[in-house]
Amino acid sequence: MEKGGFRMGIDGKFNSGTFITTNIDKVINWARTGSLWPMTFGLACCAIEMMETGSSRFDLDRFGIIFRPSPRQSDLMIVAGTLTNKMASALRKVYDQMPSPKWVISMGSCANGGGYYYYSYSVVRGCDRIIPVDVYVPGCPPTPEALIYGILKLQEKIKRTNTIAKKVKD
Amino acid sequence: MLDYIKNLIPATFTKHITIKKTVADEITIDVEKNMFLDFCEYIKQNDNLKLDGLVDISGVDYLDYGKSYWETIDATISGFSRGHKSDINYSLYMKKRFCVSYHLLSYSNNFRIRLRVFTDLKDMCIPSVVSLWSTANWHEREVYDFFGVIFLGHPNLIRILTDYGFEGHPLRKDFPLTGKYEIRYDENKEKIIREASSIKRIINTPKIIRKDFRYKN
Repeated sequence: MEKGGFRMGIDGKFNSGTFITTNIDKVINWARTGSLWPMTFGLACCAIEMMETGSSRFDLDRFGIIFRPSPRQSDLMIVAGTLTNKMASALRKVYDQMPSPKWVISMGSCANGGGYYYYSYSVVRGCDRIIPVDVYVPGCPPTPEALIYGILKLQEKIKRTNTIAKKVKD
Repeated sequence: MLDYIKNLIPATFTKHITIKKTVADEITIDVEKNMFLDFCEYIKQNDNLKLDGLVDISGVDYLDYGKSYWETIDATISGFSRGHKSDINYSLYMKKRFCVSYHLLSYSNNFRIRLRVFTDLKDMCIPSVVSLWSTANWHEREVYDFFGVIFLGHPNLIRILTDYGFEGHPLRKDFPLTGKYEIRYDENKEKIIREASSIKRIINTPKIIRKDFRYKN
């Protein structure tokens, strides 16, 4: 397999490149990783860093990532900021409205585990109490590089999933 | 400025108010509760005062105010977690426990003053000033939310910031900082549920605090 072939979902080449082979899972994963559309869920100052990641300097567009204003169109949710008790039901509702398959990135200390507000009376101690989280990005707030690294880690995670082929149990 | 304001206040009010200068020549007027609305109406409508801008309303809880509880020297023993200590000598029903302070601005005369009204747990009612400054609506709701001060005559006195169904008033000094409940999503019930808070009290965790040079002696 050539370098970079995995990213494109190509499994092998025959007849000096006239034929290429692949399997459906790899194509599906290639499609999924190449167009992660995040739900814009900015809650606090982490949202500023998320916006910066999306804008021209760090440019999430080059990963095929386009922020969507509607949960119906997104498959990734970036929880960016402090999740309060009052917001928790809204977060869960938005998560439930997203079509499967869906992933969640928890961005920043507050979303990861309460962070600075761990002892507060009004803050959820980690957004994983409300929704399942795939990748935790540490930082307060995380730099855009850190968020991009988290997204790349999520892409690696997605690439390991099998949609069609099931693992045969012994 | 202080004399200017003093001269403008008629004799009917002078018995019920105290005017003083505080830090940085700011003027603070403490007003008695029963005269408060009349006084506000007067200072808003008098042409020489014309305090027609209400900048902010905030609440203060003076419980335990000025006591050594908040000093940092002995914090290794006593800790900071408010509301968790029981051996402090105070009465929740102390006089003048709460104050609501109003920050007023006169656009035409270019000066600011601060009004204070004191109240305590036995009678948490204060007249609302929504009829004079309509911006007071949300500000008073916020003070009600955090301190439990009841503003008589407010058109819609409901909580504004805390959670739906929240109990208690979190900025009171006797409110436990970590709260009484925490929430999580229950997979079986498929909804967000409330549970008693699992946070341990942290008042006796050892802290190392060096000599604090903010306090001279």
